[in-house]
Amino acid sequence: MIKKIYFIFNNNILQILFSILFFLFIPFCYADNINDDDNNNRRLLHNNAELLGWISISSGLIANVPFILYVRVKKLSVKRLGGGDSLTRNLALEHRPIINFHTALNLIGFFTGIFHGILLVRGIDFISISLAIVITTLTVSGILIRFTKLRIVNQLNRIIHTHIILSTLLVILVILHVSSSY
Amino acid sequence: MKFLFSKFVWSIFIIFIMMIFSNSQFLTLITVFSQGDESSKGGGFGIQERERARIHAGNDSQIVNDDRFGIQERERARIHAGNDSQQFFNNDLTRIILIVTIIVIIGVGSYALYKIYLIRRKSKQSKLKWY
Repeated sequence: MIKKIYFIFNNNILQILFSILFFLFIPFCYADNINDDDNNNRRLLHNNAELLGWISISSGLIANVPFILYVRVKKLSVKRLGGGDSLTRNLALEHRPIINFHTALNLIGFFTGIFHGILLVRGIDFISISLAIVITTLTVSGILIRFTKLRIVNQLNRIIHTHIILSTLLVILVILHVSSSY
Repeated sequence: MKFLFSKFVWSIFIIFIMMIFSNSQFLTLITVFSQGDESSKGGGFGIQERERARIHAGNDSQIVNDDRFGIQERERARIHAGNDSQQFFNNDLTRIILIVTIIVIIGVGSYALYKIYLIRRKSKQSKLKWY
């Protein structure tokens, strides 16, 4: 079962991503019906837009927390046990599917966050703008690490993407955004 | 480093300009919501609430049953205005948060460029030593 999951994440990451995004679009399809009452439409769209925000936060948490733990455990095993140990080698083998999982869920979180922002653009404030800027910076740097072949661009984006200050700022801004919305 | 830095700065600048000029609604929103929301004398409506009320009034005029829907929207706007005055995050604080965010991102980008410069300098020095 675990091997099957690894196989899926090694090969079909884009298909999974697009299928999940497609399913997320379904609640919004019936909101375009112009014969419905405008007030109900607006409320429905607002509730769905809020739900998208929570989906974005949840996918971000699921994508990042296990990944950070995995990286820490891997570094610790290399430091304590050495590179030749079987545990270290097994952890190294799991790197690719875990990175794919991290990338896929973060991209889902990013796009749902974008749609959440577009749908609620009338309530925009400076905290939302700051959050959008930080999330976009992290996502673009992550994408460039993943898909670029130039070593220097890779190194630059790796430093930006893994910097503790940006991650801390992101967490703080998410907390501020949620608390200012209620 | 100069070469890398100018490319980095130029690309950020061009992307920012493209975003602003391709989306006039974005500009209008920024203009409206960047202004202070101090309430006027004798009323609870700041500038943001007046803009919201104007948009709602525009929507109201397109509804057939004006009595039911128009009054509800105006009442909602009045309640929002009352809530606005009690908000914890006023515009000054959130403006500072945005400025801090931009400074942090520029700082991290500059730090990354500096690290790349050091790495390149070390690799050039080690190559010279070999020859």
